[in-house]
Amino acid sequence: MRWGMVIDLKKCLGCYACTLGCKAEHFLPPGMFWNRVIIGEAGKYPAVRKLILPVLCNHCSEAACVSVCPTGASSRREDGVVLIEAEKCVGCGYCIMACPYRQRTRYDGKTEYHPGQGFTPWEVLGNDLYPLQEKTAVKCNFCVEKLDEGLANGLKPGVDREATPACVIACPTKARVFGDLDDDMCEASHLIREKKGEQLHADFGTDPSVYYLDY
Amino acid sequence: MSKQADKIDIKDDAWVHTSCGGCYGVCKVKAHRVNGVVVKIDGDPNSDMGAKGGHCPKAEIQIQHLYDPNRINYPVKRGNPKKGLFEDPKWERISWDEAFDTIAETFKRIRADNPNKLMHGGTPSPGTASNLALGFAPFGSLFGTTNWYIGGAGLHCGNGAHMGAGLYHASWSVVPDYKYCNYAIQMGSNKGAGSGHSMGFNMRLAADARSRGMKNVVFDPICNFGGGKATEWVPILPGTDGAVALAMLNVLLNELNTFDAEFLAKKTNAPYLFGPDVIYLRDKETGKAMVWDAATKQPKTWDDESVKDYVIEGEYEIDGVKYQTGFQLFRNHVKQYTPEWASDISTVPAATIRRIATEFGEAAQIGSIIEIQGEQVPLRPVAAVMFRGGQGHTNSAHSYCAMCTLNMVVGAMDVAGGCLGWPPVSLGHPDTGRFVITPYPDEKDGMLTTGSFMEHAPWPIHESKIPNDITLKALVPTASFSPAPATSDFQKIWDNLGRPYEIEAAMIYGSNMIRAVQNRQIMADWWSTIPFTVSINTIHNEFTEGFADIVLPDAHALESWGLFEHHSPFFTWPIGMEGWDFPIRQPVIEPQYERKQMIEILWTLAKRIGMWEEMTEYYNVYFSSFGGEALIGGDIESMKKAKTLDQSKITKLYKKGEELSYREFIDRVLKYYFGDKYGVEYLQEHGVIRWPKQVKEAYWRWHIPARVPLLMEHLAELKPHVKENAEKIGVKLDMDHFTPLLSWFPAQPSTIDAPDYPLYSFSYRDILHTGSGNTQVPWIDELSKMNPYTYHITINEDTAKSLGLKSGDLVCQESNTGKRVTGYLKTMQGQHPQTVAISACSGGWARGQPTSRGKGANFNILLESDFDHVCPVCWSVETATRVKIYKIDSRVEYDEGGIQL
Repeated sequence: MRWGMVIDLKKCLGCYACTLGCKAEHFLPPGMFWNRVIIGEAGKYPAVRKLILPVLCNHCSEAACVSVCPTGASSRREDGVVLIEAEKCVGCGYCIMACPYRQRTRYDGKTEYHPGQGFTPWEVLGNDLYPLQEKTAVKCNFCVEKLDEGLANGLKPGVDREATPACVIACPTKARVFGDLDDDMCEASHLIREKKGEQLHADFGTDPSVYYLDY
Repeated sequence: MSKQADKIDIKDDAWVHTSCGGCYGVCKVKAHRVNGVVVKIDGDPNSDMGAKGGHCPKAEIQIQHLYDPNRINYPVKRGNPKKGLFEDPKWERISWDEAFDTIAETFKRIRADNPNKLMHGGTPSPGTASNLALGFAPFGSLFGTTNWYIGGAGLHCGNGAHMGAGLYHASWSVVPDYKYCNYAIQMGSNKGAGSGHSMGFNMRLAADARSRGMKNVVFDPICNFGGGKATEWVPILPGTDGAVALAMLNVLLNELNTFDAEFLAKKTNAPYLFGPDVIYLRDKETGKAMVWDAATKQPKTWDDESVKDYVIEGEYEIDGVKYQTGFQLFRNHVKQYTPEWASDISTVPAATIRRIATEFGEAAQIGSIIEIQGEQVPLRPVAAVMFRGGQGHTNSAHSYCAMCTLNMVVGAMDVAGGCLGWPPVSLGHPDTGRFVITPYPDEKDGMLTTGSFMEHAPWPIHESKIPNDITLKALVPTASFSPAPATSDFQKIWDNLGRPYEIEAAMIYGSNMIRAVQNRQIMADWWSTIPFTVSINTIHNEFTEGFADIVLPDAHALESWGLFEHHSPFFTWPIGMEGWDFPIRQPVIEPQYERKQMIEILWTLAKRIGMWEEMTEYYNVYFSSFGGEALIGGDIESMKKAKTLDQSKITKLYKKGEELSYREFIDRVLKYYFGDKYGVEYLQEHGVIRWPKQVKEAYWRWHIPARVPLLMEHLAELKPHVKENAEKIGVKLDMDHFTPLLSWFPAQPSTIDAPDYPLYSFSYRDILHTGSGNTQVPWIDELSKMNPYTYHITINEDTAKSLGLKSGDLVCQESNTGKRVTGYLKTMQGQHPQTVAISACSGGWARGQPTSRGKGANFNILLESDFDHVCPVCWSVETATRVKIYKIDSRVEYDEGGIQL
């Protein structure tokens, strides 16, 4: 089993719904993003193409972040999800430096969305519901809590919304498809095969589990 | 969110069905509430009203709108009597009783004296429910004032688009039928790319269409949202789209001989006979327009059943006068608009125009049929659409209508794959036959007349009158929204009218009447004249702080009930065979502090000023109308007729003497429409009342026996009256625009002699900021900073180099009239070299919106607002301006307010 994601760039608008779906799901503090969208352009006027590239942790099978972690806090589960155990993380930052996709950040404590005006009820509850441990590395976890709880309840990630990552659920154009890349029959595998999905910078050699269509 | 959920005491964990308050698309969403706090918004996979499970970023930010610590929690009054752009209002908290007493006393006095002394209006503000038809529109109309002013007033809205979509589609706006369309042309529009009406379902359908290979040609000065997702981006100079559309019409009709003769003959006024003055030949007895009957070789009225074959070509002599068919006149008229001519104006290469017109004509598959659910439907898989950018100019009406006519000549209007209006035909719920809207032909000329419309019904065209309202709209009946009275020439015109009265009070719902409208100084000059201004809003803004005397705290969409949100198919409902979905809006949490829903505020006020009974009578007429008896449309004009209707046709939903809560009233309306099973409780559980759309509802064009104007004959009929009335009151309008033949008129910025101001500045809609005011939302602020363009002034990279500018420079755009706006520069390849661009209405300074202060730039400061800067026909405000650009040391537009950024 290898959980992975396919992102169809022809469908993606660059609207950032994924970014905010993720932020809300994990009660992320100001300035922290586990899903970003990189926007730019290619070509010379008038032959120009807008570039829109949503990025998140690639949950690589040869994850550079895992191999450099000195405490074993970063690890790759058998189902392919790369996770950080906050209790083991010492905040050394090696993984942050090692990730070629720049998908890890260090959490140094919550700041207010409205500086000087206190935490909103959403932030207060979020601190209880989804606490992050200070001075640790954090990143996208493929919404592992939804994944595990969904599987425990007999749901199928990528098919059942309750078991599917928030960014996939949020996407208004259905540009994102989640599934088990080891399952040839799932939609994600089918898309990678039929539409020639590509990994971002396959040349980095980390074998990402996130594929792009129309890359 | 479940990381620690098992470790804390969760007393409340619910997903609540409701509708998004992020824009007027009002997508169906679900809100997750935990321990009384809204923690997440998701789309609803079981509703077609939106992205069907997904949502745009504006849905998620509803959480931050709701919990913004800067929200207005209590009624407040102004402590500082001075009004002005940067004044500190020194708010003083007051009780609801004091607020209601003060407002009611003033309003009662005004109503007894002259109701027109009350100005009302607004637009939805951050998070506020629209509630147009139940709330602020009827309140003012029943109060008796004709002075209704919309924030944006042709600036954000599409005056040409609403006029044109109404005329041709009985709808508020148009969109390609993405399911079947193979070739979509967009002009100055981000439809399908996260802005425009109903962006939720549009972006979903457009993405599917792109994925299956629909070609999407986007004419736009910038390659960002629409252009950024196009299969072909065609850079164009702002305000010249109409020239390209006219040239494409010429190519289709005269070079390629490509047109749908049957559609033109039976669904347009192409066969109508026009005299030398381009006015209909009318039957002397009935006054009806006439066509040529080939069988009897004589003219007959358009509805004469003996006419078997409508002739669209030819010239006929009748009583010694030569008459031509509309089509012949039109076809000959557009011969002057060659691609080479259009290229000189628009900078689009002639070969490109010719190729795109050819591709469009070929892709139209004229004559083809598709079977949908067992029914044969004409298939025309092409659409040309335009919105704000393409038609936001002084040539708005002709540009927009020329674009629509591209669809018309190939028969691609409200048929499969073509250009669709938002659904104007609803045949009702299968159980009850209620919730009905049907357009129909007008008796005189057979033109498409809407069954229901917002604001100003496009047909039948009213007479031009000397205005008695401050919007002056009665002067030009084809105008949609008016920029008056917030124009620099209004006071002089009001003088010319003898100053019939002065505005003594204003009540504004939502909206930012300073920052989000044309030219803040002109707006400030206007608002400073009004002695008493009430605002109902969720959060303070530049308008409330500068000019409101009392501000009432509105409940957020997530704290509100709502009915109207989905009440107008032609405005919000999904197109094509997407289902009918009547969703709920309900409070996910109760209104916090002392906030009240706008409807409840207006109901209390109506009671206090003695117009409650009129309000409930109006509701009874309004809902009875959708019940199947077309008593009134939804527009302001028809509201005035509510009192004079046949009472036997009106169902008394709100009975005299009753006191219903808004929830109880909604329940009653739902049950009346859909049957006893479908009350509020059903909606709370299921989220939507769904029923399938019929093929003849989705693709209604050939089922409704009405025609649309290839020639805008009504403009010629209006012309002498408008001219006479305009001259009487000292309004200068270019009367040449009042021609039935769609024509090229240069947009204002290209007509001025200002060589020192070589660039065209324009604004565009960014998905993060369109549809509501979002710059105060921290998440939007973060994303706007993540985006390389959103907060920047953008310019073509080579142009920047030639001016010695580079990305990151603090620059000033200065208009030819000396208006200045500053911001940080970002160069792009994907931008027309003769342009400068700013997204959204940013650049805030309100004390109550600390996040938005100084972010981005406020394009609107550059705009003028007077009759030299509006389209004479539809009154769209000119939204491009000539500028020069140079480096500067500080943000000068904040100097006046002494604001340090």
